[in-house]
Amino acid sequence: MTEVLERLLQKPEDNSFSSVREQASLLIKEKGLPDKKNEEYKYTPISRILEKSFANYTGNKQSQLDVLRTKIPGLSMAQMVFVNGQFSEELSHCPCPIGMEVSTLEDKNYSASVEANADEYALLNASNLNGGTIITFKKGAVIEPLIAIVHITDSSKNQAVAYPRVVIRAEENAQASVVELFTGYGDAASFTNAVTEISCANRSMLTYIKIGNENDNQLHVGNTNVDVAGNAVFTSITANFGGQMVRNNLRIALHESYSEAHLFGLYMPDNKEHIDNHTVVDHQMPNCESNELYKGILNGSSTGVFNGKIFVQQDAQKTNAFQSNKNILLSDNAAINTKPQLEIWADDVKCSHGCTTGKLDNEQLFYLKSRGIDESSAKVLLVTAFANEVLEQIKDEKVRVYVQNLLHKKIEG
Amino acid sequence: MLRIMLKIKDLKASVEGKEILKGISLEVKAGEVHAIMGPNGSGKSTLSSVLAGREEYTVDGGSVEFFGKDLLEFAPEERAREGLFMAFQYPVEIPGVSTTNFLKTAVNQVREHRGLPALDAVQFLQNMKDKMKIVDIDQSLLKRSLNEGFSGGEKKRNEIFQMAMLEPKLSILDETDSGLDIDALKIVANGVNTLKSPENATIVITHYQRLLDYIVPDFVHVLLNGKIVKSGTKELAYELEERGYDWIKAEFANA
Ligand SMILES: Nc1ncnc2c1ncn2[C@@H]1O[C@H](COP(=O)(O)OP(=O)(O)OP(=O)(O)O)[C@@H](O)[C@H]1O
Ligand SMILES: [Mg+2]
Repeated sequence: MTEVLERLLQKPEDNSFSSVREQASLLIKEKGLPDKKNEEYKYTPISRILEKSFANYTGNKQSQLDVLRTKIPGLSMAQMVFVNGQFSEELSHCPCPIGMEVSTLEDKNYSASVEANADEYALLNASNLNGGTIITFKKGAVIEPLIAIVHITDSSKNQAVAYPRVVIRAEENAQASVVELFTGYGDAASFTNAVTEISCANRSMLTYIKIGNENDNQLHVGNTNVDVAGNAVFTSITANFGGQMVRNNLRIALHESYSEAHLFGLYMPDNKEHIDNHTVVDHQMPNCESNELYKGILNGSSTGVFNGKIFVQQDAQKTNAFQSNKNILLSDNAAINTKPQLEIWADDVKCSHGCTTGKLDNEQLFYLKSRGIDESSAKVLLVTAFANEVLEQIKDEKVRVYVQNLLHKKIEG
Repeated sequence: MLRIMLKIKDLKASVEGKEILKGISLEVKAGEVHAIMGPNGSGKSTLSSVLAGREEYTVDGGSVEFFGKDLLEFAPEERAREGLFMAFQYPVEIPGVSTTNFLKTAVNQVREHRGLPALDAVQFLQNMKDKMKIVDIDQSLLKRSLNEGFSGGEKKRNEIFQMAMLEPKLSILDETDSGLDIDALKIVANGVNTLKSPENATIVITHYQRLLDYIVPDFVHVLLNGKIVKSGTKELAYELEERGYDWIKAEFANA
């Protein structure tokens, strides 16, 4: 086991999660954090940066974030706030609409699943499990307001590591939308290792938005696992606007017939940032549909990775699965590594995938400039147009505008 | 005395190492309408692109003054803000960007440059409505992705609509008449004439004399192989319509 892994394995008090932690840390100690020989993390050497930045890490310092600092500019909505993975009572203002229940993992006798073949960082999260939140949308409830969860990793005093864990359950026929926002505060190195578990019961409709707006001293690995039951519709929108190195693992299992998954993504690294999206859509049963569109806008000498796996299992006849990845490189030094992987074991399926990478169109830029528009505004117009296909999926106007502003700021530099 | 607006002197330009403009001189004064005619490939669009500041074209010699300032020093957007407008021969499609969408930015950046206060949403909309009438264009077209699926005529009308919104001093209309049916031609010409004033000037590039019945030029120039080889009044346009370019080519070859 590497030294950094030893440091990252915190030793909280004994509590109801002790045995899960024990199990998970045995596994992760055995596997180790993925290095560059690991195919899955070949382009995203998080462990190497962890070794550098956390060589002297000795645990988080008590956070002293105050309400003013944590206010997310432009996102004026009720929020549940977590600082370094811990729920912050004083910073949060949680609405609890009728039909929604918020509880702690302990209250629900939650038991994390720990499997040997799980992602290493998911195991690392489980090894440090020390609480978390379960949000349940009750049977048949139609929840109008978007539920917002904000995670702040505070490295203003010292290096910080956060292991947030959020569980979202949509019961039968429930309809709701959740946004999870990850951001940081402070200049020291920080590492957010998040796990979000989502389940959509029969005929439920759930939209899950993940927004990452992290600083260039932040590392992020997020594991989002989604189970979609029959006739349920799950929509995910993942939008990332930075971070030193960001890795999103999104796994969706369509495990009953007539379920649907819609996956949208937008990533905008610049300077030396690196954003990696790995998605898996696992079609297990017949008559399911998945639709995936990820768009990247890369500037500076940033890099991006898109790896989209679609599995169509033997039983999953009449599957419709589409995947598309489109990228714009705003600079000659930016690069994207894109890899669709389709594994189809059924014979009666419709699957397609495609990817494109290009630059902004000079003719279009010239046209706008010839109308008196400066270069940077012209780029904002063209990039926004490109991103809109994803942005317009965000139905909540406040969040959409918030994301649009992040995008504008990012292009204007 | 009429003010000199544009002064092109011995302008030479090339693209990808190929010489296209081979020494063009032209003066345009406020209030004037100039027509430029000439066979395909003679360099008409190249001239307007160079004036508008398209980067692919290299200026190899000569000078262009716009209100006494060195136009060639300016970036394309600065030229537009200074009052130059080009209606494109082939307007580009921009998926996801509507005319309304980009014109608001354009109008306000141009206004800022000219020391005018920005228009708010209501004023901008009112301004749009007024200008829409001039070219008889429908609002729904302005909300669609620019030029995507527009008919040939719609594209050209949209160009003139933008001209109306940006209130330029000098407009260069590059074959704005091609692809227009006779009614649309009249509307576009009428639009141009409505916007005409003693303060501004127009250069119309066209292959057809018929446009010049509606937009009456003070001067007609013939561009041939990168040079203006003949200038005259609107009668020259009739002559070209009747006789084609061969006689000029011959004349020019002998000269
Ligand atoms: N970007 C370019 N690359 C290569 N050649 C070019 C380019 N632009 C123009 N040319 C060439 O320059 C010459 C002049 O072209 P231009 O478009 O200016 O002609 P035009 O007079 O406008 O013709 P038309 O009446 O057909 O519109 C042509 O031979 C054309 O092929
Ligand atoms: Mg032309």
